[in-house]
Amino acid sequence: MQIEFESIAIDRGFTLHVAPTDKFKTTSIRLVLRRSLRADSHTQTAVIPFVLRRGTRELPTARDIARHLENLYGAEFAVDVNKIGETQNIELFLDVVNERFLPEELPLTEAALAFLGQVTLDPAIEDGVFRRDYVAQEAEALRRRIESLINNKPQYALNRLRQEMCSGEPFGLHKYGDVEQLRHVAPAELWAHYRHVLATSPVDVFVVGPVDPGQVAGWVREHLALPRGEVEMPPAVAVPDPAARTERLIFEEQPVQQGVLALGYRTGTRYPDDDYAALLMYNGLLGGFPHSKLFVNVRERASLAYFASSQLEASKGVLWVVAGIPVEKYEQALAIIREQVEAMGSGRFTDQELENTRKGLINGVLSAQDSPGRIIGGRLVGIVNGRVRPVQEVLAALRRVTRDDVVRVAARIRPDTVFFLRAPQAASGKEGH
Amino acid sequence: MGWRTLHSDLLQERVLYTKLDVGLEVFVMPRPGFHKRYAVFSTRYGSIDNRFRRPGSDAVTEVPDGIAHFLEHQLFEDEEGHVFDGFAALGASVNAYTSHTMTSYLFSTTDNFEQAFDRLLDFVQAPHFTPEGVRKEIGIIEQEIRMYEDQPRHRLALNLLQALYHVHPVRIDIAGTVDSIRRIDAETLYVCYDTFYHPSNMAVFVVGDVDPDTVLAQVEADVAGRGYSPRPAVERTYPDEPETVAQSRVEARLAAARPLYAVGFKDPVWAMSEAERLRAEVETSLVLSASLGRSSRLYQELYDADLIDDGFSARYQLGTNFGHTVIGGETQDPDALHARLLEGLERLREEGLDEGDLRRVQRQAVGEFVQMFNSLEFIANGFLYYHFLGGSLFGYLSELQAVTVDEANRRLREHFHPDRAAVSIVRPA
Repeated sequence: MQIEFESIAIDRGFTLHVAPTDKFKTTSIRLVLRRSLRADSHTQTAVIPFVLRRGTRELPTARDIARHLENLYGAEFAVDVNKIGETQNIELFLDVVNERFLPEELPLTEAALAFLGQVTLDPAIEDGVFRRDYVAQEAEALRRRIESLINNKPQYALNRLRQEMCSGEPFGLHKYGDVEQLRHVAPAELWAHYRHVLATSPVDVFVVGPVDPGQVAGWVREHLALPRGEVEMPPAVAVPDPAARTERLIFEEQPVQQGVLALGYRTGTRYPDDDYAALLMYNGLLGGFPHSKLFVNVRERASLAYFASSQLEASKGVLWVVAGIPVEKYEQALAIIREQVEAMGSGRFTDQELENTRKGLINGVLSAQDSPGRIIGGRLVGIVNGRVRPVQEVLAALRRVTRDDVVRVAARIRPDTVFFLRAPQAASGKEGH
Repeated sequence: MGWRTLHSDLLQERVLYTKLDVGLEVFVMPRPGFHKRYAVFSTRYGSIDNRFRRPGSDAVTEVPDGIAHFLEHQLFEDEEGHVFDGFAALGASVNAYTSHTMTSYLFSTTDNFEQAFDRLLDFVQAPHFTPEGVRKEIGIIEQEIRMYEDQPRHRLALNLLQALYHVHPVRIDIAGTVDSIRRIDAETLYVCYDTFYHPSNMAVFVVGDVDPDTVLAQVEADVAGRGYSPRPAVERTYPDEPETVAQSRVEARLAAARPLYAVGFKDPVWAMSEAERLRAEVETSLVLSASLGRSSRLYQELYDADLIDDGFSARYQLGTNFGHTVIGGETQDPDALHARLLEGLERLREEGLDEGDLRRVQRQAVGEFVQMFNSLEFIANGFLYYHFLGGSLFGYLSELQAVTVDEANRRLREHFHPDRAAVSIVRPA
């Protein structure tokens, strides 16, 4: 049972994507404003959704909003900023219960769209701009969120790797903005930026649930009549010349019990490319699964780590490897990881590994169809990359990938940066075995 | 043996249940339309079960901390190598987790369900513990423990449990310690396995587009071939836990960005019946939503005073013989947060919640509960969790709707007693 989207043009650069289905207990709605990720605006863009969430003219406080949502049977309202490639997307999420499962009759889907209309078109303002207190609090909250990354060492290491490897590229910017700029976000400027964002961003609204597309389009036109100006399409990503780069090693010290080793690679293949499915296979073979080379060799054979895996950011064309290891085993772990990457390049993987990876990826693609959030997320990535890949197409492409395809993709993979988070030298190895 | 059918009118769903002669319980929830089929095989055995009498023995066996979790890792070893590979060949994704009170093995797959289900049934019932396997696992689990040690949140939570409880084993980290896991050997693993992995102590839950009778036939055929005989229940022994907290305050320093704060309220559920405990959980969850949820006055006050952020949470945790509320998050000023929070709760205990507050959070809870049923993982794991506590996930919803404002206020007054509170703080190193 496939879930298909129907796309309906609402206005200039404003598209509604509706997937009617009775499969879920919910109707999931997501509103996305797409921006290009740029150093001169990413901080302000990041603050916007969090300020919007604080209040509307009718529901001026977060508490009023929370009460309103409770009365809509625990409608789940969330906001976030999401980086896809070199775009920075403002996302508003709203999930409501499928009306069929309510103890009373309530038009929840229309109420949800009306609420999103209030949040985006009629936010709480003072003196014609965003409320000063909300802007100050939310900018500070984002600054702290970035600083609190350090509480999760693997995430912190990956973030530092991304920052170092892509410094000078938009991709190196943090999706929540710049910690210094976050101290100086002014309500009037933010308001002006928001009006600009609202008028010029491509807008996509996704609805997955037991709905009629025509009826939803009517509600969207009625409740979400966003102002439209000259639409600014975010440009494609920057791909640095691989020949111009040499591998860099970066060490950082903190009082940690475990070292975190993070390696960044340029893939030379991206989401829109025909070799995308082969790239997925490459990543799966290297470190996407418990049967993958990294897990088997770093964890099971060498007993060096609890986690050792790889992940792709295919919209940008980068791949990360991350492992938590004893600080004093850095050389050994690095050597094992590099050996696995080399093995991939020279086609040293068995047919069994290839087939297991193919099955695992197909399982992942189909399983994603059981989650409204992942259905919408997959569609969004396609839109951002200018190539929407229907599920059947991805499945067919995965079934076709050959060993040669994987080796061809592997030949384009270049090591770029190694980041190691370790304990200060004097303290390291004190409890080593 | 026939199925018993559990219905939920609100969810328009049913779960089929039966119990085999050897005591294994089987649940199936058909969910046509889903690609994924999900199965979980669980045992009532978690990190707190470290002292027990083996069936037919009077002597108390005491085992090293963290052994239930260690055993979970080691069941993935088989004679040919690694269990992961067998599932990978079927395109299935397999995993496991250990909590304070249960260990669960699970997989999900969109293809080859029957073969993968056979593998699950088989690897959980066919231990292969060896000295080499144990040695290898020590290195891996040591790194898992080190990973947790570097997480301020983990330290915060563990310290809080150690402050709340004097002797109850819930105060011991689920993974054990780097020292305790080095005392684990293959022989002790077999002792624990034989004690807790008997079908009478276990249950299977399958959810997805499956035929219940086929699932049951598979389980029956598998179990029939293993020669089990019925057995009395395992007798676990726990030390007597006082109602008071062990320590009212505990602080630590760690590489963290900002201070982290948690307050816990201990709930002496061991003095309650099974039904009372489940009721306490439902009532406390509603009380917490009404008192400290986003729509509450107290949440708004603390947020506006810059004492809490988005990550602030308030939850009740119930186990078979322990229960406590944990409230907290990151904060600029843990001492100010503590003072304002306790003052706010004290005010609420005096004034009480009103009917409107309770009705709103009940509505919200119903909606959230229905939404959770999009997740097959939630369904299977949630069902077994409540079942092992003596309740039913479907029953949770009616319990929730039945709570009155008087009951909620009585719970508010009795549970949030300052004498039952302990505080854990982690400050940046």
